[in-house]
Amino acid sequence: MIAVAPRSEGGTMEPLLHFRNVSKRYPDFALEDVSFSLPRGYIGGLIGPNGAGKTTIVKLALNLVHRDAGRIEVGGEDPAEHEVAVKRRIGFVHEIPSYYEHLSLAAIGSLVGGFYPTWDAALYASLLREFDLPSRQRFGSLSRGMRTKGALALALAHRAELLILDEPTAGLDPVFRRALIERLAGYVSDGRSSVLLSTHITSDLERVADFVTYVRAGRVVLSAARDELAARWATVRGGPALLEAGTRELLAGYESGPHGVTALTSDAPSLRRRLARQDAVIEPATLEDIMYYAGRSC
Amino acid sequence: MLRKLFVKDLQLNPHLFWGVLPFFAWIGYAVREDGAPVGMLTTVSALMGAATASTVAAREDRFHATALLASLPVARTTLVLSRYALAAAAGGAAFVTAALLAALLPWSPHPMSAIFDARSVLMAVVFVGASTALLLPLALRFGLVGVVGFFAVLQVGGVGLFFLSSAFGLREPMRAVFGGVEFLLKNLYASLSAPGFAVLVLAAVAGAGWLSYRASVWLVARRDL
Repeated sequence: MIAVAPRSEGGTMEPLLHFRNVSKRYPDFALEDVSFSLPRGYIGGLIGPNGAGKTTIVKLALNLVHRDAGRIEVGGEDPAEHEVAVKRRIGFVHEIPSYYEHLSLAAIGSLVGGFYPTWDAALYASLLREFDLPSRQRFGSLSRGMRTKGALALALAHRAELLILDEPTAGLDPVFRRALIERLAGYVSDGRSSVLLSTHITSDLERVADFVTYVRAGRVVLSAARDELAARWATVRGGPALLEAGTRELLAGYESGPHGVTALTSDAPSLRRRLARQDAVIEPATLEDIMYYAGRSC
Repeated sequence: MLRKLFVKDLQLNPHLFWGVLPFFAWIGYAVREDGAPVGMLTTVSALMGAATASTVAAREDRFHATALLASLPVARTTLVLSRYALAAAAGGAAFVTAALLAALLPWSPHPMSAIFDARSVLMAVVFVGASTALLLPLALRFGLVGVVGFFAVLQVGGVGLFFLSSAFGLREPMRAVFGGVEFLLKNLYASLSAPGFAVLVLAAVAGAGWLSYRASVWLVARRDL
């Protein structure tokens, strides 16, 4: 794992969500040694390709799946030991929102709301209006995007401390996607709440994430503050000289082809100094660049 | 929390109320005769109520909402307990409904003492307890597959019994099988008049229920969703 120290300025750094050396093994897949933290008042992005283990991490936080090793804390409490207390803190939007198909959103709200002491029925009603959702229509007859919006309204209406969204933007129209991202930024502005946003659509996170954890094949490749990523991670394009000894050690991954070498570095300042006199283009890496190039060598 | 789960299940399954109406219409019709086995009718009603709650109302997989339910702030042990409470309540409600029909319908000739007979109540408790103890662990852990599997095993067992009894030269093997069950139930019913035996049976039902509950908790708690 490539670890970069999270930023220390702005807001409390008390972790709301904390994974330490968590492992979960299935017959055909294993999540190994996952560690990351999400402080209060911030948005964390969980990125990775399909099948990387993002959903398993989300489910581990909710104790929907049981870990084989490691420690998980939500607000200082272990979800396995304090199941009810932890779940009260969490608002969860599943990748494929499944609620009682024959009930309306209004009925689902009154049913689900009863389980949360902090449920705000007025807020729920206003969110349904804001999201243009028909409160009396059967959930089963809603489109994928409307279901996600409904699930989001349910998660927001009990004023969760930790909002966990698993691929929430898939199926949403671009206008609502942008509105959602802005709403999430507003959600954490109280300094008490946090959002963990699991997605493979990295452009969503570029706008809003304070911390990013990149998971690939069940392992955390990097977990860092977004500012640190912007400062230290870069892509570089140049000739075969990039792969020479001394430079190659500064690369976190690369791809070479007939048109030259494109590489990723996690130490942009050092690479800039080293390549100062060479014909190379160094640009800040996007999250997509990091996902694509990290660990690649071909 | 148990009450909220209970209310949730009642809200989610209103069709079960309407679905059992034909059955109770038949009970209302069946109690018209003087010789109608009213004790058996109330007991079978209790069994039907508990079995329906265990195989239909307890199955969150029908709604594809198992993960939603598990993400609510409810301990999995409480979820399991609520299903047992629902099955027991449904069995009790069905018993009371059938008994009230037999007691209140103007064409029913049965005296109260025959309807609310202690042995019938005990038989109903045995039926509700046994069906719940058998069905709920399967329904809670395996959903529809568990319930269907249970009845498939019963069927295969019945067919096996048929062949076995044929092999031992019984002329009417099915009659032998059902006759055996009838003999067992009649003896159980007769023996329940002895207080010591009744207490023993109740203790056995409670023990089976407790073991079933612990098994369900174990199965549900370790399940990954």
